[in-house]
Amino acid sequence: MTGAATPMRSHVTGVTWPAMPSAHGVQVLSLLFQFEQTQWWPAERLLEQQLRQVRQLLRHAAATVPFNRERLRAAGFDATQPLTLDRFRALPLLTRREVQRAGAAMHCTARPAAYGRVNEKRTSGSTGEPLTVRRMQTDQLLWEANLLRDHYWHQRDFSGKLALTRAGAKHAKPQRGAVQNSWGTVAELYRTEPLVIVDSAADTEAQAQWLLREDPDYLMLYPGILKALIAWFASQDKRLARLRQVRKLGETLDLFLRESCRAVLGVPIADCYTSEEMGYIALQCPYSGALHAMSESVLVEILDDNGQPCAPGGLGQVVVTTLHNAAMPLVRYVLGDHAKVGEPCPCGRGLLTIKPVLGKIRNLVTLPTGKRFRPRFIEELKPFPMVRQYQMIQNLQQNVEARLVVDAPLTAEVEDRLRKVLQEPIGYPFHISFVYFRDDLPRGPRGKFEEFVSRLPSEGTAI
Amino acid sequence: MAGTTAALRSRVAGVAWPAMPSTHGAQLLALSYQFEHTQWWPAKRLLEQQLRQVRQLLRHAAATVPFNRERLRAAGFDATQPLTLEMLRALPLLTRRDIQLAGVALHCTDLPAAYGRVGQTRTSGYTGEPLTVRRTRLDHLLWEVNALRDHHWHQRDSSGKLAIIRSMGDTAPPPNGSLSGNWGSPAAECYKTGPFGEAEHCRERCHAGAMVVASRSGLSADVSQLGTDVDRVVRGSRYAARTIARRAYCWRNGGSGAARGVRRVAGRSAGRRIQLRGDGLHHAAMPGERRLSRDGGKRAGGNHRRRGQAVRPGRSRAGGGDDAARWCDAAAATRSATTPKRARHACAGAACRRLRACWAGCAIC
Repeated sequence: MTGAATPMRSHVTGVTWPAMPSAHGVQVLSLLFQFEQTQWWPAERLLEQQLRQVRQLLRHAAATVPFNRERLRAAGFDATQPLTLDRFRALPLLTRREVQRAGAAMHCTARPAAYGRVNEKRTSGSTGEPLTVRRMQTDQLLWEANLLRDHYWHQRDFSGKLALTRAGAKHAKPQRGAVQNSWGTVAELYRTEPLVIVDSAADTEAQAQWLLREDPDYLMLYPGILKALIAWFASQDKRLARLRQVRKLGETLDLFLRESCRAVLGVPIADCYTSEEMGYIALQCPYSGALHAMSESVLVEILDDNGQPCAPGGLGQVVVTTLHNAAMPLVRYVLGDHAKVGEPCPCGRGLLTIKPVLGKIRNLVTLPTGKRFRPRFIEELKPFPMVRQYQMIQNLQQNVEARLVVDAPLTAEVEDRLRKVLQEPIGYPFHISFVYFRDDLPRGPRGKFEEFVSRLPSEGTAI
Repeated sequence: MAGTTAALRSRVAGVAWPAMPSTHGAQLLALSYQFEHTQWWPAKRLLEQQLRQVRQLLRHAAATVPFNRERLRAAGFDATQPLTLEMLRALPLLTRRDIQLAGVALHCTDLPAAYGRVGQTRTSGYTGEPLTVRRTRLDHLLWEVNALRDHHWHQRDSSGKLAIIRSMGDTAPPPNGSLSGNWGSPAAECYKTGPFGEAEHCRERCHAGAMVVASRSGLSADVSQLGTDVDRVVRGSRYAARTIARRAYCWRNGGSGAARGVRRVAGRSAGRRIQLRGDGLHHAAMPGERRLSRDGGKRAGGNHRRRGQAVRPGRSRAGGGDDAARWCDAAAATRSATTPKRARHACAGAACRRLRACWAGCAIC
């Protein structure tokens, strides 16, 4: 890294220092040069620039995106006026369902050539509702700059080996995995060690054995898979000798997993908050551990039940606006996640602090009183070692199904004890029924595993 | 500039922030980004990287520059070995006379295309010995990055007006000089420096950010013209700087001057710079006086500030303060006719006495 040990790649023969990067590399670095300054700006100044950019996006959207043309006119958007925070907040929220229904009407009909080519990506997300997202090349550039920022913040050494467990990597069977000769887009600027990949759908033991063979320096994976791997390494009393850090992909991270990762694997976890639609939304602060919004590429709002911005410490739904995606502008898009607004970070950065992200509404238990929260069962299940894996499904307002992976069904007496224990973290006497499995519980479409799933009709909607 | 009020220029329509600079602007910022980090490296690490790069240069020179081929072989340079500081120090010193005598033998015979086209500058320097220097586009890029670094370090506000007074032949005759809509590259490549492209419409519209280039002849008239509107940031030769400073002092006392600073671009000084502040005219010592020459590019940086550090007022060896302007009397200065740029002069001013040797660049004299 520029500030660390790894030298930057020079693309001009005979010039090693300072490096003369490739044309693409200089674009990424020119953004990082700006990020170095903007991250220290006060929140008001960042917001001022964000609104300046959102205004540009809205003008473009009103002129060239059929879905937005009518919507913005109805909301009273006036392209000739400077965009104030009040005017921005007067714009309606956009849900995933609306984007699905709008289809091609969400696409820009005229794109400036300078925005570069358009990439299309189909995502199922964790909700199972498929969505096709279009992104510009400029947007991709910001994505790369944020990725590099994450590496810089966490002082990753590119001369280390990176291991990745990836959903859908069918070719990367755990017997051999797959090898890429670099860390990907980072290689545009730095010489890196290879990236080794394994399919996240492989069973835990096979993945663990593969990791022992590869002995990586860094590991990127979903928390659900990490949890299973930690359990395996703990049971086998093994460690990955060279591992320096785990970088989380997708899902949400809980404190227990952080602690157990440090205890069993001996390394910290670096958190991040991303989505297929938005790219990088927040990265873990290298100083405080809180999440900082990537204010240069997204405008993040955390809104309470009345649609008002939450004060620090307040819990609300996450609403995001991409600042640069002219191909498919997503303005005030409801991600379906819940998060708390953090206090200003002691690191001094003016970027919005989020602490912590609690995940989708579908991963929150709903009490008959209407209260929602994310339940944790891991501590309560410690006295029940026969339960190898679990998942709770809320089917009805007062009914929860406990899916357990066990060698043999539990006795009625053990079931009663377990029922009482499981009711404690929920704080309500739900009726809990048990369903037994011999093998691992099925994961979501991208290899994600959800501990708690709510199937109540209100799932996925804003509170 | 970055960190101040100036905004970076975005070349992509519809993208205002963060800026998407031009290809050239991105190159400048990418190198600036590296400089932002490397400048804090310990000297040992910097030297290590320098030697790594010098080795590359020597290999290239030994292979493609006739003058160096023999010279490096004689000095025992081995391209297959890593270059140590001792090895570098074992290389012979190169004088201006050596370069003059070598002529085209110093030119590279096989320049890789990636270095860009070659430009040529003829300089007489301070010694009156003319020299022709060749520089590649890549070398020029680094020159520009250092110029940008200078702007960054000194937190110049590119929305201000920049005036340059230097020898320009007939291209910028007095009293109006010539006008440009922006500060030129590298600043204008990256930053908004004024009403870009409006220069040809009407001079009055170019007040903010416009550059005035005036020839040295008729300087006094130009300076008078600069008085009220073109004096925000003034850049010029030492001679011009002195004149500007003197005039600005007069303006100050007359109540019309507003220059924020003067930056010298050529000529040697006694390690001081002129600062024009709201409360009067100051001499400020520069710990690392900035020097620039046509053959060597920028050699040393001046004052700069690290994030979070308080700005330290320039501590003048001459004492500083408002009284500085009155220490030396221009009338007392007598110049040497032979080497005017380095002339010692007999000056009774207090500043000169404290400095022991008052070079003509003591700003007021």
